[in-house]
Amino acid sequence: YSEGCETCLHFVLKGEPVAISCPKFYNIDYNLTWYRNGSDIPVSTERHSRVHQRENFLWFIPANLEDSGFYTCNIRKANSSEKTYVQLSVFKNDNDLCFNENTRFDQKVFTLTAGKITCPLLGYFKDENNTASEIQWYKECKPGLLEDPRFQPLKGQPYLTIKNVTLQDKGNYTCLTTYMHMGKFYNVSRTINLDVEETPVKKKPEFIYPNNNTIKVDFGSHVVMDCKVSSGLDGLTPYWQVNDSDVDIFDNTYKEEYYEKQSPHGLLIAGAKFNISKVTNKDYLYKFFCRVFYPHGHATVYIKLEHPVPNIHGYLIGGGVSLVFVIVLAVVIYKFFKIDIVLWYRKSCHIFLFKKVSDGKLYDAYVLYPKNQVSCIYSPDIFALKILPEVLERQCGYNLFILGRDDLPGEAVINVVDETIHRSRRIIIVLIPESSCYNVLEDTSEQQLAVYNALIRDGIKVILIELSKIKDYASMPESIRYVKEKHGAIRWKGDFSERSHSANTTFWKNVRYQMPPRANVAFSEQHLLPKTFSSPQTPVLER
Amino acid sequence: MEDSGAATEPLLLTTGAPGSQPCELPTPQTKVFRYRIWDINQQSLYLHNDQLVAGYLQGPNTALEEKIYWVPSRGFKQNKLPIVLGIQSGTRCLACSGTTQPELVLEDVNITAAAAQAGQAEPRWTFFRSYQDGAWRFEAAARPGWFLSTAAQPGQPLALAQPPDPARVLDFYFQGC
Repeated sequence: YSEGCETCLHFVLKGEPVAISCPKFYNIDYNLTWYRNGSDIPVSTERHSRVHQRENFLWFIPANLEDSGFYTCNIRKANSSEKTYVQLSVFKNDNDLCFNENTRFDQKVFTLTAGKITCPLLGYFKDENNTASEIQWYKECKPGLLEDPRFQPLKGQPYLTIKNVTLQDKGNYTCLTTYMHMGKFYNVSRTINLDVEETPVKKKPEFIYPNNNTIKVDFGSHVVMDCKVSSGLDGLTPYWQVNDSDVDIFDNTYKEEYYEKQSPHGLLIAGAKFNISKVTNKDYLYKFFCRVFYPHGHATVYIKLEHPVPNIHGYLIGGGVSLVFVIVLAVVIYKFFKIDIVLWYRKSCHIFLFKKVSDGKLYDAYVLYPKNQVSCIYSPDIFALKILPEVLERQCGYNLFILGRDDLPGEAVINVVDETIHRSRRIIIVLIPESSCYNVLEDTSEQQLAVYNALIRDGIKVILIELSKIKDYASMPESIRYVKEKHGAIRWKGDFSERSHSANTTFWKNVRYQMPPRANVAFSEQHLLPKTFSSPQTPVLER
Repeated sequence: MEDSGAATEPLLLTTGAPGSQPCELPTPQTKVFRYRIWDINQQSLYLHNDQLVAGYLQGPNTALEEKIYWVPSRGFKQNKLPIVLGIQSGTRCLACSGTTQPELVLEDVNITAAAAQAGQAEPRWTFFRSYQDGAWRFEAAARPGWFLSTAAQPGQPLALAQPPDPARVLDFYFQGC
């Protein structure tokens, strides 16, 4: 019999017997001799001696504090000899206690089960008849432990069984027996530091995650697949499977890791996780199963990866915002460049527009202006007879009827006006401020009437041109006020120099915009043509 | 009767292994689990003569206890809870060898390498766990019917035994630490 611990310290309470075995032992015959360290004299083999060697054991009956120290066992077999050292520590009990806290044996049992604690290292202490003495048990150095029927010592054995262990059973248990040597009884005591741990009521593992769910993950994203099980049992290892095989077979970069950690109420969290560093198409195809086996069953859950749903709201909002922006931009552009756009459009598409113009009208515009206002600082004559034809007729190719230029002498003015307006697409009225000149139409009530009739009867569009700012329209005829209110007026900002005679100035663009579309053929050619053969007037050649 | 004045100081507080520490569950463990194993008679395991021996460790000797390192053995059907057991941070593994009589040996093989090889063709390192009344049994995958066991007497090597065997203890507490 050997304790068999090479590096162990040997402990004995002062006054109690102890037997020490040599850590080395052989199954063959050999000679073993004990020495106190540093002494050449072998330990006595005399049984009456307090310290003696009996068979291969070194006995201290009893041990004294001065016995602490190193001892040598010297083994001689065949032609060799071998020395081994052991250390004995003789201790005293802590004050007012029946044990020394530093020499206890740690033992552990669990609640709700039957526990067994052991009074250790008593094997040496059998008497000559090879029987061991009864063992008394103490808790916290107090007797009476066995009055609780849950505690049952096993007869002839060093065990104390505890039924239905509770947390209150924690504590220091001292077992005490006797050893008789040479007619004298010696106490042998051991103290156990008993730890009691709660047995979790729930043994069956439960999955914390996943729970047969799907998760949306982006293609190419990094996902940690973590399966967590809560259990009252140590060492359960959930593991992942996919497509009926382990995940590392499915993809050899999927390396499973297992872990375990404590959670409240004595439960354990066991887990298995692996990394999907970049989600690929195959990961969306199968369910990933997490399985756990436990002693009397098993459980499985799954998780499935899914493509995230495209963000319809995002697209809708983005598209809507873009559309609104484009519309606003278009409106702004149109507002600022409306005239240019319309003029460009007319120019670009003049072929279609030209074909469409077959409304039976003869003139593009009928021009009305205050005549013979020589005293006027703004000369409407120059404007109407020189600049207007220069730009609209010569440069733009319009066909104008200017009263006073194109009417034939002797014709009744009223007839000319009525008929000509009727055959015109627009009426251009040149206005001058009342302060600088007198009213444009004051002495031509016939014209005024004709204009009025044209507006009402034929719906001909009227273009008002102010030669300078007109502050007050109150004195104007009602028809003019109506037109001004409805369509506004274009104010002449230029002078009478050559520069203002360009069709591309803002003023003329405005006028051209209000003029009907016109086939934009070469101006000079147009002007050389007779205005019309059906015209009641004679063809007029431009200057 | 006590010559306390001349008493030499006890050595226990100044020498020996560092103080015993309770084996609490530490931070999350990865891959290789570190556990305490002790039989239902409260014997724990320690190394002696390069063998795993079961016995009672007193006071500071508690620190000599060999912790068990283990990993799931994935080459076997998981319903038998197969694991590979090792000691010394998983550098040595418990293996079932022997031809006629099964023999428990310590092999210098890394536990993760052993677990990677473990399977029907290489069952030596694998043990099936079973649980009853709060204690575990470990059956050698290589020798069905043979279980890890300790002798009722302390200081004897951990070995394989076939129940029923009243001289052997087959039931162990097995807890993370």
